[in-house]
Amino acid sequence: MKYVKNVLEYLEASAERLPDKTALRGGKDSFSFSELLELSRRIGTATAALAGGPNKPVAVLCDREALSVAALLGVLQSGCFYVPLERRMPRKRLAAILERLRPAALLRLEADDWADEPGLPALTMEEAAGTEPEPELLLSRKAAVLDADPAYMIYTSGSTGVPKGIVITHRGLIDFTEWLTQSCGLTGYDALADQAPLYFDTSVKNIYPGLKLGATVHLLEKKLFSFPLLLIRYLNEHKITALIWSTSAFQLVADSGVFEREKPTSVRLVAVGGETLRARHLNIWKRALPDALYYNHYGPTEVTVDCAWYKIDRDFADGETVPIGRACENMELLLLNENGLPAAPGETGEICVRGLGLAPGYYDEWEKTSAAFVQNPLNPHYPDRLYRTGDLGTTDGDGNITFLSRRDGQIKHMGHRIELGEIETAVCAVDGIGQAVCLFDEKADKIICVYEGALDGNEMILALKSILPKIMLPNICRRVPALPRNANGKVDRARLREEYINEA
Amino acid sequence: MDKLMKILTETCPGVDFEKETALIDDGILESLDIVTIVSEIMDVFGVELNVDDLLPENFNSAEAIWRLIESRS
Repeated sequence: MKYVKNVLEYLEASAERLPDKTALRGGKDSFSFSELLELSRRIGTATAALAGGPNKPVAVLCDREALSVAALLGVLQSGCFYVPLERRMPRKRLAAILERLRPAALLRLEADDWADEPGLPALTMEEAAGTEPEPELLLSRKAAVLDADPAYMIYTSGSTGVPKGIVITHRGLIDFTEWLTQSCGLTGYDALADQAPLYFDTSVKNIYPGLKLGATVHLLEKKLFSFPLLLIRYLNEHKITALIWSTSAFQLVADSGVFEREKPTSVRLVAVGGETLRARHLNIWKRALPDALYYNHYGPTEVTVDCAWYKIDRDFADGETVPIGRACENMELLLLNENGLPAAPGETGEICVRGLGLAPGYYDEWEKTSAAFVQNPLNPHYPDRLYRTGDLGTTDGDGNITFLSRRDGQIKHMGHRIELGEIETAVCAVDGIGQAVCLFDEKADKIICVYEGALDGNEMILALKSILPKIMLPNICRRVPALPRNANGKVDRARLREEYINEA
Repeated sequence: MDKLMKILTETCPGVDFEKETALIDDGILESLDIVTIVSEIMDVFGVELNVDDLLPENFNSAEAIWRLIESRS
């Protein structure tokens, strides 16, 4: 087998083997593998001229469209790495990210309003797609990129109010793609339907297997998840065979009751990840699609998408939680207790990960990097990096790990990883707000904000809309004259939880 | 109708629900909003909305949502 060093080699090989097959379908466009390769070379040539490089970050304001994927691949062609950002993100948040990141260039869609800023060369994807490719330039750029160099960087919520950029390498991405395609038995005959936005790494689980195998990837319109009947019809019409989705999308479809009306007719495989999988949802799917294979995946963005997997090979009762299973190929999971020692079976420990997929770290965040990526405490002999996920888990008698909870203020809300601290920082930044505390009601999947200040709930949400993405807006706002405090003058969170969250 | 308007403005502050007629087609309401609105409607109005009712044309305007509620009460 040929040694793959750059993820673009997947696209190049598929374009040679299956030039006319549809690679991507989404938004207004549909591109064959050869068209996608050509487009990425055009965009890559334009980006290289703009950004210099190699190995510089290029921001891409993307949408669920084939052209946006071509732009991401174009950035890789230029020898740089892409930073996918939601094009509809609140402008203040975008400005804050761009100011910290200082990308070498920015790609956007023609439809977006954009005021050029000094020091940030920007280009529309449409213009870039019209550029004449320069093969020699692209070859020299590609030659300069090592497999240990970054392919992409994804922003995730940060507890101090500033999002963190997680740097992911070509090597990690290749390692992951090889594991995913083999463990799920994906082939070029599969048709994949990506549900996740491109700035969310679940999309990586569809795009790169598609490129490697020469399988068609459909980018599903967001609207389909509001109207599940239309979603199932789309899957059936396009003979989608594999759903590699976030757990929250899987749950949403299960809860919609759509299967009582229509069932998927071509799906043979369903893999979910990103949140705890409850058996109740799984059982709804299994009743509708009894012959499909089901997988539960687990992993924070820092390990290159996933580090554990469980092939669901037995029945679970409705109230049960499905395990996250065992480590992926070329990964090791360690459960470490508070003393940094391996947790005994049944004992709770922090899930720590070793392996090639570990991110080099957070961009421009040396302290946060060294806090999360640490020396393996079980190996005193030579550098051996371990990523501390902050997730707590336990091992059952069969050696399968089950996720229990978070160690800190990080939550999973509608499938998104959010730090409550980031919301609190934003709330406190609103004029007229004093102190604020955010709580998460896990059962109801609602963020509750209790605050002191002059604004009512609606006024506060309106103000927050320009700072936070929609998914991070509190669902319930409660204004109080004064927050309860403990003896040290700190806000008494435990009391607030008792008061505002019905945990019974 | 007032009760519906309250649900809508609380779910999506800052949207002119009196005037908008392309809430779905223009992407003003997202799947998250639809889920919230549907569950609030079922709670507040005591109606059952099922998967057949979840079609874009039933959610493009406050008026359309209101017609949907009336047809199910």
